[in-house]
Amino acid sequence: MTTGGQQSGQGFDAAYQREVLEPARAAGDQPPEDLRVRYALPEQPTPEAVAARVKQVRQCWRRARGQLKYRKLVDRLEAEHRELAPVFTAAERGDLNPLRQRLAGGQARSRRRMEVAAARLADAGGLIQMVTPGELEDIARTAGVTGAELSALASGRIEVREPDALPAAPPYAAYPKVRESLDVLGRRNLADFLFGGRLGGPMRVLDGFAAAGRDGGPLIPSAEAVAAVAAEWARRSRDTSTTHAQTVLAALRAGQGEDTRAHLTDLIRFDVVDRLRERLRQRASERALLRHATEELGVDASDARRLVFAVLREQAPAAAGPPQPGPADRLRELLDAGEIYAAAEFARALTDPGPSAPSRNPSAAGPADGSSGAGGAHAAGGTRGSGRHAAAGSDLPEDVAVLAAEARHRVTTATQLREAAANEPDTDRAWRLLADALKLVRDLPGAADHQKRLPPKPVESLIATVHADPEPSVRLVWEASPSTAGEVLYHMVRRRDRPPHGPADGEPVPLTRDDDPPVNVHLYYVVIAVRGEAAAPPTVAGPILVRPEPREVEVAPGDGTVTGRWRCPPEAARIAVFRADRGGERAVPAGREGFSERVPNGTTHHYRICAVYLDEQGREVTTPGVRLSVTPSAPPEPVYDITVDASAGEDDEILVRFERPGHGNPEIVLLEAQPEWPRSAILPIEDVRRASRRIPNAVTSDGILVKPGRGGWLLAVTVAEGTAAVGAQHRHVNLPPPRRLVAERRGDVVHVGFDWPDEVAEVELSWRIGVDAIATGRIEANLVSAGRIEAGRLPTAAPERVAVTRAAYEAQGGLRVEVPEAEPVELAVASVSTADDQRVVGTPVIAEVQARTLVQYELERTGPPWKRALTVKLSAERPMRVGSLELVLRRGRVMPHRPTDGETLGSWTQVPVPGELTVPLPRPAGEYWLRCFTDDTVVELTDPPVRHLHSPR
Amino acid sequence: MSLASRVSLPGLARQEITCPYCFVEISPQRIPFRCRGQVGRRQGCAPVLDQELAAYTGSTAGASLPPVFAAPPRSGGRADCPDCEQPTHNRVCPECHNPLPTAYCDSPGRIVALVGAKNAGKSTYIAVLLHELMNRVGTELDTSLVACDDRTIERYKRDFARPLLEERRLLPTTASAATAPREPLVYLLTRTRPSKLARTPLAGMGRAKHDALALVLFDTAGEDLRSREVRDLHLRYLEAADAIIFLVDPLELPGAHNALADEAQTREGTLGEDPDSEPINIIARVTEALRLRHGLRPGERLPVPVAVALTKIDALGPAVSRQSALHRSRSGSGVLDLDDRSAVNEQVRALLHDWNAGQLDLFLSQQYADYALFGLSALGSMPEGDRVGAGGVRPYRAEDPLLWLLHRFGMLDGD
Repeated sequence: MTTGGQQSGQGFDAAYQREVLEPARAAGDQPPEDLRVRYALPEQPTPEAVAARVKQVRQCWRRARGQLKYRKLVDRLEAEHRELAPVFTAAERGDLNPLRQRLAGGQARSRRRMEVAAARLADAGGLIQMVTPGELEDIARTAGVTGAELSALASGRIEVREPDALPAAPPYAAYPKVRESLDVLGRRNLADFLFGGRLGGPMRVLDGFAAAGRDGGPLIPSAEAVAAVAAEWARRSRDTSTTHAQTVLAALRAGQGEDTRAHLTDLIRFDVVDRLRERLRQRASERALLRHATEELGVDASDARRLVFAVLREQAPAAAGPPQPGPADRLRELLDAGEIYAAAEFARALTDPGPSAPSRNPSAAGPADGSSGAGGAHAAGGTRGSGRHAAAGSDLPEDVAVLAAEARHRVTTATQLREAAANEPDTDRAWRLLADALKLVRDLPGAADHQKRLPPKPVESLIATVHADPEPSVRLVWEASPSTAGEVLYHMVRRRDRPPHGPADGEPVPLTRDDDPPVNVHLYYVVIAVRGEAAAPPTVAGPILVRPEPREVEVAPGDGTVTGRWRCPPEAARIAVFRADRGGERAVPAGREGFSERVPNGTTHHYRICAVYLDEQGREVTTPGVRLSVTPSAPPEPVYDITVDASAGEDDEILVRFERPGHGNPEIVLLEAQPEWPRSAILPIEDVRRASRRIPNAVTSDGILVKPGRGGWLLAVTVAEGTAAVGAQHRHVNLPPPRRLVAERRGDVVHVGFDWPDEVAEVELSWRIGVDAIATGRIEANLVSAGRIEAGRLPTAAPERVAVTRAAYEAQGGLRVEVPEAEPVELAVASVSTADDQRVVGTPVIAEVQARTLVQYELERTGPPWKRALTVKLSAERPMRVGSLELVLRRGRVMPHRPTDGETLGSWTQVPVPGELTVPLPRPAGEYWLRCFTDDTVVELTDPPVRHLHSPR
Repeated sequence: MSLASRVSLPGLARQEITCPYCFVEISPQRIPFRCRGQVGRRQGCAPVLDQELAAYTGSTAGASLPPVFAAPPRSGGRADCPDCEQPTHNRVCPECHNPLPTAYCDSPGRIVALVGAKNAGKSTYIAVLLHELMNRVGTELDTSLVACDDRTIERYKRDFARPLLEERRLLPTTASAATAPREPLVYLLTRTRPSKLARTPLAGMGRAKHDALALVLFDTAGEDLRSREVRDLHLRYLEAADAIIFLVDPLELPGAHNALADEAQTREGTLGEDPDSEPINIIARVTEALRLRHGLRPGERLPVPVAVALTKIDALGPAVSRQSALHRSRSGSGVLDLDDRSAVNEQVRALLHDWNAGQLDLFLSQQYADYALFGLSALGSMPEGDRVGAGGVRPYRAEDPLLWLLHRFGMLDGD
């Protein structure tokens, strides 16, 4: 490569590749250490020249990298260039010193590398100083030098050559006996037995036998030499040595009749080689082998080097190369891959020699194979000869024979299945037979193709129905093919006007529904079962017609009118509307998008809205239509005023009174907040329902009895046909009444108690004392409930009222009302709250405590001392009679508790009150008590102070 | 019972004061003071841990107070702290260092003991009685009832008022003094009595009179009275009591069974066959202790006023005849209606004898010079489960025993 001037791109590239890249690639993709070489730098580099050349070289690298063989090398060059970049940058700036230092360093590294390669080569050559070309190349590659450089280095010192081919098998089958006999006879080798003392020096066994005799003449291994030694032994007396000698002689004579000299040469060479191999197996060193060959076996030094070199290289696996597969491996490979038929064919080729018979062992085509062929009798040979067989014929190795038999058997069975399938009329059964055959022999010719052409049974039934909601669609119902063998696929095809003939004859549609069917045309649907490449006969449904009804149909009632709206299908010619009329139907004029007609109020009208299509002949066809009913009515009238009576119902029920509106059904609803709708507004009833809470409504003759259950706004709405008229409203404060009202008379005090509702903090206690007040109050309540008067219009009925807080109630331990014992009292307790700054009183709970009919008595001692009397004076608020009266005396310090506690001083019936009763004054000894009792169920006696009843001793 | 006139009580004449907390007797001249301490910007002694008070309460919480010092009282019941020289009115018990209100020191303190068997309703009665005194009855009598210490306020609110009056739950059984430390509830009851000229044309010239009475209520666990050992160990206050209220549950009187209302029969006594729990046995044991304290000779009767009250009379129903005073509210306002008092007394006595419990009446008459019988209902109606019955707490004649005791102490006129 010229380094002086600028070259054309292609010319430079070619030269650079040839002179730099190729040697580097040959050196194991090792970039040249010398940067002058690597960058094709001129001998006297200048900054400009260096920059230009580096740029040119790198462009060459990029182009060369496109070739796969240079990719690794270029990647390395680029990687190292990144490290060298500062050197070239400095050179470009004008500073060439770093580059010069690197150049000097690069030459030194190249020298060192060469020295390393030479040392490795010397090691490989060893004592015999021989290497194989492969070894030399390997060393050169790994050491980063070219093979040529290394060869030049080796020249004169190391011999580079291929090892001599040594016989692997003995030329005489019984050689081991020969060797044994030679050892017994004490001969160092076979040549020593043959020539004995005539050997005058070292012998050559490679490239023919050559040895000099003692007489200086050459010694020739021949039949004469054999005869001579045999005669020599024949002259000896017979002993065991003779037998051994005969054994050896038999071997020497074995080749007579052919090329005796070659046989004897091979036999002598094998004897030497075998002895060297034996020593090598015993781990003899190279030096020991060489000494054994020259000194003990008497081999020429040159031949000894070659023999040792060859024997050593026999053991080196690298020199042997990768093992080659034999027939058994190939068979097993085919069987494992499922290519049974190919395996059977291969086996047949092995046993049926012919022009097309495959090479049984490509690696055996070498000299060894040739020698074995010449020998012709070593089928059980060693090393890689296990796959070899002695001759073409039925004598296959056992493993090959077993594999071949299996392949043949499977092919035979599969072929029978294939033939049975061919004659089977049932396609499913045939499919299964072929599946079995293919399972045995995957590559059975014709089976897969035959199987793919077996169609499944057709789909048995197909029903297509038209659905209109929400969008028109055709739904398809069908049963799967009865065929269960193989994977059966289905194709659904739609076609207008005639049934499709196959999967491709029409438009494919989804399997269960056609959501976009053509409208107003005859449609045919088919389902086709497909298995492999074969299709079953199509199953047809149709013809069907899709004629959608009008969509989004709405019919709205008005005041004496009905209006309708819809969406007309685009394919429809028009929309027809019918109204049921006197047992028939009457057409209603309608447009394409709606209609309106006047009808009487209060009657439910039934409409049928149909789509009209034109058939092929242009005739009108009407769909069944959409049916709707509607009742037009007058708009609801609002309830203009309501009154709320919380006392008319039970518990928390309240009665809402109002004047019934002319149209619509009034209803009371409860809202959380004050309704924003103006009174008399007409709303969709849904709006009211959404904003309000429905509460139990019970219509009574007086109004509507409702049970709000909570506070809020009661709103009267009038409902008529989906609309509601907003009426009057009332703020409702939920005031649950007090519970478990208890009123107990304790003398002239009535003790009132009740359970407070949780959310109530104040109650109003009201009471009316006396029969008249109670009766007047009830009359007023009835009149108010009947709407005759307003509350409080009867002054005499006004009760006493007092507001009681919860705290006061608890502080006082209940409520106490002073009521004369002789008067009844009606008590009412109602919850109180404040709403909108107004005091609201809830529904009261009422209790009545009856009056007591009291009769006071007094005991007076009257009369003169000789006729003392005891007078019982009775008094009451009004005249009456006491049913019975007993005056009882009890002695002691304990007051009588009942009439039987003492002795009766007097007993009277129907005693008038006021009145007096007199009995003689008793004079018992000691302390005693007097007391009156009555069993009158109405009258209650009131005792005088106990000091009047008690008489101390 | 003698109702003719109020008797002179022994306690009224004595010179010593009984601490209502530890019941030690103290000479009025020996009552120490507690410094007022630092209040706002005013100088005073810093708080220190009061070991005596902490030992009494069983906790150091709330026992860091200004120091206690002994000093003879000056005029007005004051003394100057020897350390900070600040005058103070605060007086404490020399033993337990609990506060002794000035009014308690100046006026005779009265310890009222409550005694009754387990479930007799003592705690409920205390809760309702104090509530009545603070509200309805207090208004009627022109009395104020003020707790003398924070612990009393807290305990009344926590253990009595809140569960019973606010939550309307029946109070649980009081823990025995043997297992839970207990303190008395100490109140100062102050009554304003109009001048004698109030009802004359010279009403504006007279001055109202304020009577003060320390009311010490000790809620005894019922079972503490069933064993002499426990009673002797824990109920020292009984010996110091100036008056005793015995509560008797009629449900525990076997003879009263048939007299009970139907629903009451299902709640019949829980003490069963335990003779220790019979009312007469409990009263007898207390009587024995008091006699020992007073050193009475056989035949002498105890001067301590005793009120024996039948509780839960709302459960008696028809057993009481319609003409009985128990069916009527207490009459009179601001005075004790003596006729009503007599009528109730005789009615209850008659009931006891009717129920074969006359032994109780006889025992009382033999052992006590001054006793009275009462009938009351603290709740006003039968409870429903563990809750107060319909209408909440509606006491009926609950204040009667105390009114009688106030009458005996000279703080309430009779009419």
